[in-house]
Amino acid sequence: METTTFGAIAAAGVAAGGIAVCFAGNGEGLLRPPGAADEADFRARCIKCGRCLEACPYQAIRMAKGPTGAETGTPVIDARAQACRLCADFPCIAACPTEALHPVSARDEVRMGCAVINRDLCIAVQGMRCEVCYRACPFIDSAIAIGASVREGDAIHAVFEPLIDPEKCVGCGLCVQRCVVSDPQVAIEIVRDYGEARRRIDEEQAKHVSNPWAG
Amino acid sequence: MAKKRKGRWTIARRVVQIVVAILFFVPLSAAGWSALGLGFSSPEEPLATPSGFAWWGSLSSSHLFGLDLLDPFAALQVTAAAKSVAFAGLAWALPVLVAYGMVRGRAFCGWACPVNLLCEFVDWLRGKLGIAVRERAVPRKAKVGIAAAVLALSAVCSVPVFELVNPISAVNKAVLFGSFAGVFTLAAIVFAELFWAHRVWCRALCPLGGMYETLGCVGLVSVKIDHDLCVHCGACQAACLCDPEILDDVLSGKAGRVVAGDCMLCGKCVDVCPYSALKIGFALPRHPEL
Repeated sequence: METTTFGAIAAAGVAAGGIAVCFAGNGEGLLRPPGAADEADFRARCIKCGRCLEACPYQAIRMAKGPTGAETGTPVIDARAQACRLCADFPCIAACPTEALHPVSARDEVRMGCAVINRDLCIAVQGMRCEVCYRACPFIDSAIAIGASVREGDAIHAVFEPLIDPEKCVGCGLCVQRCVVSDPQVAIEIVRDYGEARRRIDEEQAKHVSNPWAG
Repeated sequence: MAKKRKGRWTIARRVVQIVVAILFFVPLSAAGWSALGLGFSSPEEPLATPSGFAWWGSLSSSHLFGLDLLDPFAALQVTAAAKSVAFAGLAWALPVLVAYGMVRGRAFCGWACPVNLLCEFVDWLRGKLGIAVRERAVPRKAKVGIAAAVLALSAVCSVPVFELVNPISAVNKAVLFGSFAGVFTLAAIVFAELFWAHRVWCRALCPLGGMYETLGCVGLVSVKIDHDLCVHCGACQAACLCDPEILDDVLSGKAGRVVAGDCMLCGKCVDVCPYSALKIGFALPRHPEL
């Protein structure tokens, strides 16, 4: 085979493979910086310039890594590692050249996602006084409230359970970062789609969580 | 005849290319952030950020001494993909268009683009290795069509398509942030230039080059020829980083300047001309071509 033919085939192969893997994957499950709309809008606008990341004083915005995938190089927040602090002036949004992060006029207008508590794992649901997520929330008593109920099979003690209001939760992730449960997983997570989050919250509330101290 | 200063333009260009290549690392290290996206901490108090520096960003979008800039081709792709011109940053592409439009569109390619720097190295390496490749595998104007195709595809897919595979800021962003989108394209380019065709990416394929080629038709700076000094040795055409055919008309005496918008003002032809028949100077963009 001639060198040039080999070269053309090799280059075309690498290019085609690269393009294929670059298109693969979607960022539906990724937590985006404040101001991001749905993933389709975000994907149409983000040019992966990295300016939001360089503007974030808490180093909460990082680039999705991995060598491949459409989401590679896009900004993500790993709430467990470092949640969004909802800076009053939103330097990340101001830095974005293409409005992949749309302007927001107030902190409570942010819609990054909604927290969903896994009631099987939450120690408050099992009867302990935790309230760490509640205390961590920048919208305490609004996005998270504590609901009191009688503990199952126990006439004396109450259960103080954190309850999320999807109308108010902005999805900053501070509750996820602070949650004391990590095994087998964190007891609270941010779900980006609010409809999905509501469905999951209803599902969790319908769940019967047995009281380990009952009896 | 005045003593010719050899390689003047190439030396100046190398300095600019290297400055551009390391420009955006400065604010990152000045803020005490580590490169490659490593060493992220989880501070409770706000840290100094690169955005506090006089310049910061990447080649896609940056902030330069009070002026916000955006890659015009990225701006066009986002406009096509998002079906919207209603983003404030669209205006950030204007200073870039005006600056390169005043000089010469593809001065970006010749003076700023890190892929061209890499390709010049690959071309040098290929020469050292003695690998023969095709001189012209794809017509040089193909990149204008590719640019149009990228914009059409961006509109269809609702994704800024070239930004998925953009090699131009790939090294920049890999080293700054540890993101490796675009490195496949870089690898493909190196393969293509080593084994297939001479400088094929910059000459014929790059859509960003295609856009700047179109803009290059209105530039006020051109390579000009003194027909009395030219001996038709062909040294300029052999050195041309673009396509040698853009020099045909000046050598045949038909034109006094390189009219092609494709010229990247690299100054290679000026540097190699043994009789100083060529120089870079101001000229009105009359009778422009792509």
